[in-house]
Amino acid sequence: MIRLCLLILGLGLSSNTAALAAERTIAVVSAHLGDFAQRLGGDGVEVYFPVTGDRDPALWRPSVAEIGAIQSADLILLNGAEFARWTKRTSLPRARVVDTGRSLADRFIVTQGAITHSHGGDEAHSHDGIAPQLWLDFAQAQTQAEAVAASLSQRLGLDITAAAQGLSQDLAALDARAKAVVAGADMVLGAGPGFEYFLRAYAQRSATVADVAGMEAALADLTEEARASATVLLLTTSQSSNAKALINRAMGVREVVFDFGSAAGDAGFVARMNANLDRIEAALAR
Amino acid sequence: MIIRSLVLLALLAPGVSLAHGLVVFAFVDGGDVVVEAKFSNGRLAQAGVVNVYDAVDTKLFDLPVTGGEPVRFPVDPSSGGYRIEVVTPNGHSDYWVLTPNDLKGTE
Repeated sequence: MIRLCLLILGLGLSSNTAALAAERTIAVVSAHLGDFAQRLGGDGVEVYFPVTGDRDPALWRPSVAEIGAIQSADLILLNGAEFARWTKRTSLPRARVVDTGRSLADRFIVTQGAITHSHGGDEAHSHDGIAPQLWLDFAQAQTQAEAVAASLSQRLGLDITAAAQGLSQDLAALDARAKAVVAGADMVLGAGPGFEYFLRAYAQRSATVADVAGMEAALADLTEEARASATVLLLTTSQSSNAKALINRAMGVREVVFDFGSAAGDAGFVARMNANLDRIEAALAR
Repeated sequence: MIIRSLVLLALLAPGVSLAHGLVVFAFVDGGDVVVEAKFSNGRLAQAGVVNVYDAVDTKLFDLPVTGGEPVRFPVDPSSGGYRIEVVTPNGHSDYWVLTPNDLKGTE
């Protein structure tokens, strides 16, 4: 009996080992790409996304060991649009690299600015250049998801047809919901860089503002009459201080904390973006 | 976010360097690591310092950049990889990472 149990256990271990051996590792530079890869590949893939906590993967700098692990992955999914600059500072195996934003090059938004700084060991960076958050236009996220699907299917030989359909439907629904929800705002302001694609895709009127003066300038675009009754949203990446919130309220601006979805998170991309839209809806209802 | 932006603007003194003017590339050639540093206009860096860090980012040594020549140093066979940073006198800097795979000449 014991021998039989051991045999069964042994067979189980063998089959688990075989399953692990068949599992493909996919390294990603952003949580949203990791979520797409996991949804599409299911148990057949293991996603490697070493950016932990709330660190910004756009600015994160990997260790030598982490780059070594990424180099060894079966597939390396990049965002493109100058996201994760470290990818240009080491050798990655070209045959296994997929730039999921490549076909969106003619839709890239060029940003202007002159702020250059770094945070601890992360990349020194400038806010000049290309806005990298392509996925915040959910139709563009769908294009990236299609690139991920094609690479899993063609390069790794995985059957992802049903999962691809499900993801595509979810992203299309997200895009439609964003259009409907944000239409309730007369103007949407992005507090700092990062919101460019979301604003272009969904806001009737929009501006990126860096400070109170910028906000006043953007609001000055509205007529006196419109300003009195306009619904203006301010998208931020973190809750403002009480003092700032009071100023925003006095200016008639409703603040909404917005999750870019690129840093590690507990929920999937669609759920995180729906949570953003829930917060926008709640702000508009106030 | 806005306050953070304002603070950053206030902290940035005039003349702060732009971080992306320099492009560093390193490769292995005949048992040596070769380091090249160019500006984005293609001009070779004429002066500066190459800082060599190990796999856990502890500085190992530094070497001077002189006359636009590539900088070479022998590969330590026991190395777990290098991060190679070049800093020029006008404050430009960039880096390149070589992993153990790169040092072995595989992918």
